[in-house]
Amino acid sequence: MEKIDLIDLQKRLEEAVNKAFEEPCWVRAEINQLTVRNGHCHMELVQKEPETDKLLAKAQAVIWASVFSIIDPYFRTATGMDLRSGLQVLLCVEPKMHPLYGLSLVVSDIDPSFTLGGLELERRKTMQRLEKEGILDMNRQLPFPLLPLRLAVISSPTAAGYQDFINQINDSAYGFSVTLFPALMQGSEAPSSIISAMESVMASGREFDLLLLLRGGGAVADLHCYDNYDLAAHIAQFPLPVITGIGHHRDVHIADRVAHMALKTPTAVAGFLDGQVAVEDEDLFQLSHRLERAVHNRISEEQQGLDHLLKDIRGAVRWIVQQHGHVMELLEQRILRNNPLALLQKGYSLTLSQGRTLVDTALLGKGDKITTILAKGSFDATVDNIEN
Amino acid sequence: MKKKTEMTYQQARRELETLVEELERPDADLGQIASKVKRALDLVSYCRNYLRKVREDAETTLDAYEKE
Repeated sequence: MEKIDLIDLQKRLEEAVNKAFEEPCWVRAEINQLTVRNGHCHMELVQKEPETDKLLAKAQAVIWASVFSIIDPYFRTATGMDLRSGLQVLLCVEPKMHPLYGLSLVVSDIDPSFTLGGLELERRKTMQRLEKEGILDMNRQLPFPLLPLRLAVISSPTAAGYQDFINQINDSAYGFSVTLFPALMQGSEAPSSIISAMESVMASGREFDLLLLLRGGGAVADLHCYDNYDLAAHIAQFPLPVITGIGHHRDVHIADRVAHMALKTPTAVAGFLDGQVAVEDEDLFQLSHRLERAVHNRISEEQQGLDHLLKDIRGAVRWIVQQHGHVMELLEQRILRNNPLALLQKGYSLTLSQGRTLVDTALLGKGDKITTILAKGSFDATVDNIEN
Repeated sequence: MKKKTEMTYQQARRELETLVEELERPDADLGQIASKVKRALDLVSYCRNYLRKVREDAETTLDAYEKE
């Protein structure tokens, strides 16, 4: 059997590898580890069994600085993410065998749409899971407070976006109270950091109207964390309405979808809240105005009613006095009509027999004494003759 | 005298009606007719004055109230 030096073995392997891969090829893999040294990007690529996560393959890869300086910004622009561990990637590689450093895959290109497609698939799975668990719309179904003044804010205290928010809310005419619960707002540590801040909000025992998740604006950053299932599930089931102001201009994240409301930036959140309170303030003003007017109207209605009643009283008094006046007139006429003295004045006379007025000769007999009354004085006489 | 000033309109009216009915009776006592007519006409003036006063009092009160 042939005996050779190690260098010869490695050189033969190098030749074999070079011969086997004369053309570069596209390889699907997951980035397991990634470090950048002197501008060169060193990665450990793996492939896992889908169900069990058991390692099936592992290889070293390198993106030389001259290529990495192009690939890195290209990938970030296309996906909104940094190249990092945990990502599924499609790389154009050329396997190189070096006698001293062993086998390495030299990366010359990357296809960001593969990574995006994988993430989209993952996102859809997360959405389906939230929906299946019945929590997707939970936070949205909470009633929104009429006066959202007591705010629990999860943000990074040094972030520009948080400062913008504070400045704008301080400029408001309304007395907002802001309590900050600090957390990491981007990167792979963000979900667990935000979740623990959410737990601190509940543990504080304080009463809040809303929970705000605010991230500083600035450079395009890796916001993949806002598609995280655990974070989304916590937001969806949070007992207060959650508003996100994550400060991104790309597509909507799952955290935004499950929150009560998603606004583009922390500044937009401050503006919205100020507007909400202003609307309520205006509503209250209108209500008090309406109340005042209603009371005023009611009182003047009553006033008019009383005025009418006064007129009615006057009319009633006049009417009743008039009625009685008519009765008086009638009585007076009857008195005057029946005054026999008035007839005597006109030359008529009254004749009495035994003290009673005589109206019929049938009651008289010859020789009866009668008395005749004139307007002035009276005389007695004796009946001499009777004619019927 | 005191009794007379205290006479109510109702009383005056009742007396007046009685007097008129008496005067209208054919067998009215002639000896009292003159005084009954006088009394009746006095009652008519009393009632008329009373009514005028009622009306004036009411109007004065209402005017005073409306000026407030």
